Amino acid sequence: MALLLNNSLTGPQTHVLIIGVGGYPYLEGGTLQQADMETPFQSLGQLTSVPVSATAFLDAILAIEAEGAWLSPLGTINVLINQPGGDPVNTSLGFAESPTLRNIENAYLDWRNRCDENPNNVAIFYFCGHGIQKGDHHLLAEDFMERIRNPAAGAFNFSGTRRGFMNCRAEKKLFFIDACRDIPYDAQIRDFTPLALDSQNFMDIPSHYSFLQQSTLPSAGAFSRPGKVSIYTKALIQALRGQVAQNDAGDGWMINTAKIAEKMNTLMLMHGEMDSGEQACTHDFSSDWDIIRYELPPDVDINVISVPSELQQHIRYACYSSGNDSMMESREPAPSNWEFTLKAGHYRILAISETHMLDKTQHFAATPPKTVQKIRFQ
Amino acid sequence: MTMQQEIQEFSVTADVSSVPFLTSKWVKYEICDSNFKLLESRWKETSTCNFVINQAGIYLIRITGPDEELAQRLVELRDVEEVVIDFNAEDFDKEKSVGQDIHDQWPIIALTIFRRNSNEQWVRSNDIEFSQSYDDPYSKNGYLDRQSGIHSLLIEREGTHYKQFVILPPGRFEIKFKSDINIVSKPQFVLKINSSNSKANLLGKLLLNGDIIGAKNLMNFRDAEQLMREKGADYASAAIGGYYLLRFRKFEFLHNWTINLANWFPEMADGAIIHAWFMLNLENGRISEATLADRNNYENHEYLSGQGFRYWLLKAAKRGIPVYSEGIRLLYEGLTQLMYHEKGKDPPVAIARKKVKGYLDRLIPGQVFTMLVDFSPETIR
Repeated sequence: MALLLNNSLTGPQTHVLIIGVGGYPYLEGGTLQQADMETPFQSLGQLTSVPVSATAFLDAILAIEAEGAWLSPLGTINVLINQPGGDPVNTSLGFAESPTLRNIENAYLDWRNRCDENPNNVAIFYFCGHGIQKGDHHLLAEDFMERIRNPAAGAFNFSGTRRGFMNCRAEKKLFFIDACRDIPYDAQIRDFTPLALDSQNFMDIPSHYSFLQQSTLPSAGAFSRPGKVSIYTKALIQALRGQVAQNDAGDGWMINTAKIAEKMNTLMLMHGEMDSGEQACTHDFSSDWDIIRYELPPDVDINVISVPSELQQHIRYACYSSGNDSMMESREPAPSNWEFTLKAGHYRILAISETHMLDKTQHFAATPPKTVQKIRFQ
Repeated sequence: MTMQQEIQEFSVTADVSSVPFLTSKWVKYEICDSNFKLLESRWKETSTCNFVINQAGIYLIRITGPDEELAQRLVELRDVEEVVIDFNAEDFDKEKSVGQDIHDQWPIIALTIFRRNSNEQWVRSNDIEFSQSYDDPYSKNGYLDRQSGIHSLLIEREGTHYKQFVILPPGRFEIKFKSDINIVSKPQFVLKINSSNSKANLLGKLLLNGDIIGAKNLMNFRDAEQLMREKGADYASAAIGGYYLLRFRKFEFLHNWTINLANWFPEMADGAIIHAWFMLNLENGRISEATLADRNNYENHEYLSGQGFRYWLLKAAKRGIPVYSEGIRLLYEGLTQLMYHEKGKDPPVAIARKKVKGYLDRLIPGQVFTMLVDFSPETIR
């Protein structure tokens, strides 16, 4: 049973479908692999990052609900996650269903029906696992390559599914896809046309409030470190948890879909896990809307740099809140930049070098996702 | 009795004239209150921007450049009524800048110009002369007569098979070469093409980056309508206006001009693409017929047949590579819809889609103007 949370009410709600396919038993390293030299798609293997990423995404969804921050409260969550080796994945809501194609299709239809119940519902679709883009973007289920002669039988056409979902009544639709978009040689040389989970009304135009973000560019890979949350999902979670929040209207820190699109590549680069150009998101949407509202300001990464940098090792720092002048953080002299975290707001840094008889006070604004503050002694 | 209270007025001027990379560029100036509530946001092409504030307090001034360069400063307004905040280059977060200046690579770049002829083939041309930019040794300026058709540029690194192919905007344009040394596996140049209409240029960039809030702040729908209206003077910028209005589904501002953009500039695929998507919305009843000031244009063509979407997409594919990367995306998406609609039994659509897929596979992402890698115009019609 994929439905792990059911808080269905009559009003508009947020309904979430999470699919994470980390274990591919019929691929390289899988428990049921029947590979020989002739078996296609053996360049694809097990993904240890996926169960960690998908469960982290689930936990983020729940954390947002715990703070009462969803603008449309959380209604249901369908969860299908597996991991290499075949052991079931225990999430904070219980054991996840295995993401075979049949289970994915059933969960999709269940989720879709629920989304259909109210035009003001918000639909969120998240997938993490192997993907192949051959014309359309196809996503691979757990049973991919169970039928060696028909690889497409273990995958579904995501692009077609999304087109089919366009006539769902839930007006606000979000799709987050963390999967490769390149074409393995084996998909290039053979007919590979998986079916969609839904059928399209061909003359439908994407909903005005449809938002798609794919973790990587066409013909490119999506990356992660083994056993760690993937680069994209980590950035997505940070975005949803406040790193793209803005208080533009003055009545709360809002997460707006346009900001998720605009800031995602910055977030992916921010923690130095990749270099510019290695992986970049794409998005497709025609309008923006708020999905989350936080009462409190979000956390901001602060990086304090002295200019000239040689002085850094001689400087004692202290950071004070501009509001009540209480000390937030301090640091003794050290050669590295001073990095710490603050809530978004106004602050004052006091920098003193006793050896060089220098002192400086500087006011600054900490705004998400990151604030670099240069303290100039020139 | 009413009490009159004197309101203290503060003038805050943000000045970026000391920031060389923002000279003559569109810059976003924003002012927020102490809770980061956005009070005002303006895009300006000038190096200063003045805000008038009528309450003492702490304010945040935020500057965003056209390449997302970001700087911000706090200002406390209390006693002094006129404050000028001078930003300098070091205030900006330069981590977002892409690419490094070219040094040793510069001499080994070969440039070849092509023009699209009436047989829809690319032929070598000498229509453009490049001049070196005064302030940037890795920039070149060029001028392309708007009447002389669609041109492109092939950039090759001598001694390698590496090629980059760029569609050039008509009018004055600037090309900046950078070497992206961060991408070791794909040693491409980072090319920045800027057309003479810097506002349309920036609008295209914002739409591409998904910054639709910034796009709406930069240009309202009337301004985009104006770009479309002035298509005779600058058809490439008109196309950006068209894509913008399509994105926001503001069909009423497109009037019946999309067919003129498509018909008057047959060398540009983008006009046909914009008109195709307009037709799809028209055929689906999403556009009121009242929007069409002159239905005669349509009755003679495809309006009554319900085939306008297909007709104009095929026409666009025949015209060749769109000027804008957004055009390739919309063209491919439209042809894919048609292909599924006909269950693959429409050979002209299947052939056109395959051709456009060839462009899409070579498209260098993140560029407003179409830029293809490993593409040689002489081998493809």
